[in-house]
Amino acid sequence: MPTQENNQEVLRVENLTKKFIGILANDNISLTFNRHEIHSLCGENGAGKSTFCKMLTGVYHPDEGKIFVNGKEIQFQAPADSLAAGISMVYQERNLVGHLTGAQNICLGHEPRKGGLIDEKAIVAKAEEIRSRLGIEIPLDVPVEELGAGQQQIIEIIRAFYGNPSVLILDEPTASLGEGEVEPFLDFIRSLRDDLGMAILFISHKLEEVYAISDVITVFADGRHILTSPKDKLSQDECVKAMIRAGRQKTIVVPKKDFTNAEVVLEAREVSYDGKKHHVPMKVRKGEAVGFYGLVGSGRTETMETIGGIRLSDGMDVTFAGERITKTEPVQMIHRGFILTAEKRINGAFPGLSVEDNICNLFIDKLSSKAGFMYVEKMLAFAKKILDKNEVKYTSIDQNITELSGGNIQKVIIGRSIELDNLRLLVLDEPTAGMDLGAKSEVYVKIRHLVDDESKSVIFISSELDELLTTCDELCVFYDGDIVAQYSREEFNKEQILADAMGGRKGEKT
Amino acid sequence: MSTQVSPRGRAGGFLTKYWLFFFTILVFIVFSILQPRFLSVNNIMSMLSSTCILALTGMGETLIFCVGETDFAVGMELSLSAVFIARVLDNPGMSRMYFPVFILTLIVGAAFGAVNVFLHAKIKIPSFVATLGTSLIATGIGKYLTDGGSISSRRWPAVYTLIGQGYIAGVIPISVAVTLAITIAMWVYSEKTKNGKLFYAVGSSPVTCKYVGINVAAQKVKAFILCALLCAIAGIMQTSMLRSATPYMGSDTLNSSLTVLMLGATFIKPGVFNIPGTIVASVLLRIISFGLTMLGAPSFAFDLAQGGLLLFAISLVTLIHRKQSKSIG
Repeated sequence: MPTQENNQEVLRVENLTKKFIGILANDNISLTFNRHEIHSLCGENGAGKSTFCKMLTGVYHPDEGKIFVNGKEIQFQAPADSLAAGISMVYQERNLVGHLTGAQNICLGHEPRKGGLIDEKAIVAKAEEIRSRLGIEIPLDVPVEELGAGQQQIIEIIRAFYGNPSVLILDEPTASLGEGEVEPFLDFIRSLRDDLGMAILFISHKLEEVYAISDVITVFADGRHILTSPKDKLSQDECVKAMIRAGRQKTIVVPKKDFTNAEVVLEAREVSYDGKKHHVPMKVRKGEAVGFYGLVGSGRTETMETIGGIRLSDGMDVTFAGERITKTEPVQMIHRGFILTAEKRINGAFPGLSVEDNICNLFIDKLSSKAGFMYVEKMLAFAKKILDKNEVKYTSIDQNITELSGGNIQKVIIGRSIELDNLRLLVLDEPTAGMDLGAKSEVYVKIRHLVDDESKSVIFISSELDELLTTCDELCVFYDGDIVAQYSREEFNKEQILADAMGGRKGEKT
Repeated sequence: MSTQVSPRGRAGGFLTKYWLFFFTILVFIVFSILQPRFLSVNNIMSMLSSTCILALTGMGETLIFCVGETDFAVGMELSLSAVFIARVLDNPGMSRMYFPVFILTLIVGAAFGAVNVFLHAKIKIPSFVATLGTSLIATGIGKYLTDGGSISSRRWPAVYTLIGQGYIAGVIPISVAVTLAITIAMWVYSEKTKNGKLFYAVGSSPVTCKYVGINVAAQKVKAFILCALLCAIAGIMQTSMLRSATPYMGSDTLNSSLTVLMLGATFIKPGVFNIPGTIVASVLLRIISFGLTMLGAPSFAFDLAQGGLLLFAISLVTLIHRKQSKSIG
């Protein structure tokens, strides 16, 4: 390992270009990455970030251009070549085996052997060696499923250090972390830069994080390299402007409304699930968008899924549309005008089925005759109407839903949900996860349209407080299964809400 | 990187969609050239009538696969129905009771399916384990009813052999006509009705069904009972063809049903279990079996062919599924 100090080039690319059928995914990109530097890569979905990373890790072969590692040109034929050259990537999705220990996961796939058998002692020794080199305290002898999301992410990164890399690529590493886990994680990344002199390529949709951690920021848009600048010389506004293709971000207007006399659509006091009773006092009124904020696992999803009949209920004290709800089935709640979109997008779609069926399965009774035959033309027209209304990008109505991008799948799911005849309450669970800014703002606009123009009610569950603050009329904060605080729009106070979500009001009555 | 979809993404070409059909015709032509007797009307009709049993059980298992489950008991659903109708009609004074007993046999078959789905959907036993258990019990019952041997009786009415051996206008076997009618009904049921749509939805993702208000258990009940009914009809038809019934007559049913439904899933809608595909695959399998027999090939040749086709079909279906699940975000 070279020991020279300070900004020294470790990886350079010149004129990298990659084309897929009909699209220029990366157009003539030249960049330099230095040791002791955290270099953030920003851009919307589809800007070309992943294609770029895949060329660096040898997954894709560039059509044109050159890659230099330590000044020497190298052609990657396969991911193994890139690893050997010292480039290691941690992917967005977790790739750990839950019941194995941290040490076993770190050595997974290249376990040290003794006489043909796996040498457990050597595994622990090797993992400990990497861990101490990185200078981090983390238990390596417990199954990783017992660790928190942040610690799991750190295990993933320790694993990336198995091959002794000099460049580390992190793709959305904080996406699955809870609010309290992000800061320690970022500290860890900083220590990799400062203590080991790593060149780190950091990809994130969260600008706050990018600004907290970066030395240099690069922006991609539409497969092109827009700018590279030291962080201090680039304002957040300039950065966002560079990322967004003209006119895609919409402004959100929340009109001032008085809800004192508005009809109450959903009123809840207590909900029990998994054998525990939870105190969830809330009122959702007609024409109101209520945000649910809290850490992952704080009960936001669980509460609404229990009310919706999706999760097994142990009893509840809930009134919906004037009716007392005790135990219920999803189909009954949908008939009453309550629909929930799944937290995990994959749970909202039918993989393997066509776009058309994915839409029509929610309206199967309406689209079939009494004898049970489907109205083929009605189905087609209905599906097309929803696709057009929601500006879904698709090539054919028979197309498998999984061929659409995540954002477009989400448009299908939300689009069909709001088409329910007697829709009263739409519950959106993390609808914007993994979306770019343009697509996110479309969701916000849709929410406001529903509550302001159509007098529906919306519950918007999210881990991103900022989007709730911009979009909602009211906000409920969850902690440990309970609603611990409620704010109307005039009272929104970011610091206080964050404190509530971290358990600041534990024990207090609301 | 995935907003755009390559224009090739859809359809996947005429040949990939219909290869099974063309392959079947090709195999037919090859056998006809090698053995001219193969092409006779007689041979074609007996080939079709021997396809009936496989087509019926194959369709039953296809419905089960549509809802994402497995029925290991198809063989015993067939055998038990055959043994049941044979045993009951063997009693003195029953010879006039053919049609009531026929209906009763169907009810017994449906009840078998109901037990399967009760164990799976209510007690929550994985379907292949539940059906493995019930099929063992059914084997026991079958052996008890036949004293472990086979039944063939002079007390059976003449109508007993009608569904298996009768002809319409002296040319078309009744078994073929009956199977054809059921095939059309099943095809319409699975592709054009609400129930069919719901089956595919359950098979695609039971979790998603909850979010759109589809009752998963209700669809499984329909699928398991329909499958058992189709197998019961196959059993009645087979005992009528053979003029005997044993508890072992369904021993090949599971293997060949799985083969045809997997092969069928490469037809028209690649990766999707479907009725037309199952039917074409059933015909193909019988053509190969008849052709090999007429050419005097040793019996292991058919096993090799069937095994090869099964593995080929499963590989193809797996590859298609892998390609589909790759891109979800």
